[in-house]
Amino acid sequence: MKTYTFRYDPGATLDQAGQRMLKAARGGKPSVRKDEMACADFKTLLKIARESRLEIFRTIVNKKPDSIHALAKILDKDHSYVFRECQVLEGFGLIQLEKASGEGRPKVRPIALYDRIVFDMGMNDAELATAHGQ
Amino acid sequence: MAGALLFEERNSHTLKDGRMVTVFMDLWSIDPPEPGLLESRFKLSWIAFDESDPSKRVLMDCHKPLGFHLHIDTGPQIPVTASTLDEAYALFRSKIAEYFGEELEV
Repeated sequence: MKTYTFRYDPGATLDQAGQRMLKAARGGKPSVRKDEMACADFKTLLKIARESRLEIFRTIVNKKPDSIHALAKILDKDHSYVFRECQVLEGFGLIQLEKASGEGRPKVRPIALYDRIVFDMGMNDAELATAHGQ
Repeated sequence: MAGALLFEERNSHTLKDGRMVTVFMDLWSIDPPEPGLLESRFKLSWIAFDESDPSKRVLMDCHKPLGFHLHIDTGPQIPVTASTLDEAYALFRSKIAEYFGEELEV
């Protein structure tokens, strides 16, 4: 089982991420946050991990469709909507879109890279500061 | 050539007009140093995309043999210049602001 985390993190601003990156580059101490997406505000977190999107992801995990077309059919949703959502899920790192060549229209197969999603909404400022090495 | 992952983060932000932008950044240190890489040792991939349409994006890469370059949307690579990692990051920020119309702070 592989877990992906949607995390609330007030330090997930572009400014602070940039500072962490430059610090890692100059100090040689890696700062790697794999398998997660962070947002500095709750509103964004709840919007990006919305129910309709997670339903698409859950269908990919469970039904393992062999194409976006098949996925759209299972979900009874418009193909272009499902394709765009799959691109977002790929951008989040939750799935991989594998292009398969063959006869007829080229297929794009959505492959789930995780099978569990966790929401992490730490409320303790001291704990969050420690997570950033402050 | 050996590479060590120094940094990786994926964060989402909301613009003042309600659009959401996801930024993914990773940075590798390459040893031994090689010409064509940033500061001869950094390989990077930074991308900012519109959550409502991931093809709307600013992508910066630095890898062999292309060196440091930029892609807007799904367009061709555009060579860009930065002599340090700090300069490269400042350029990425300015391209994001230019493309999405405002700075990403939250």
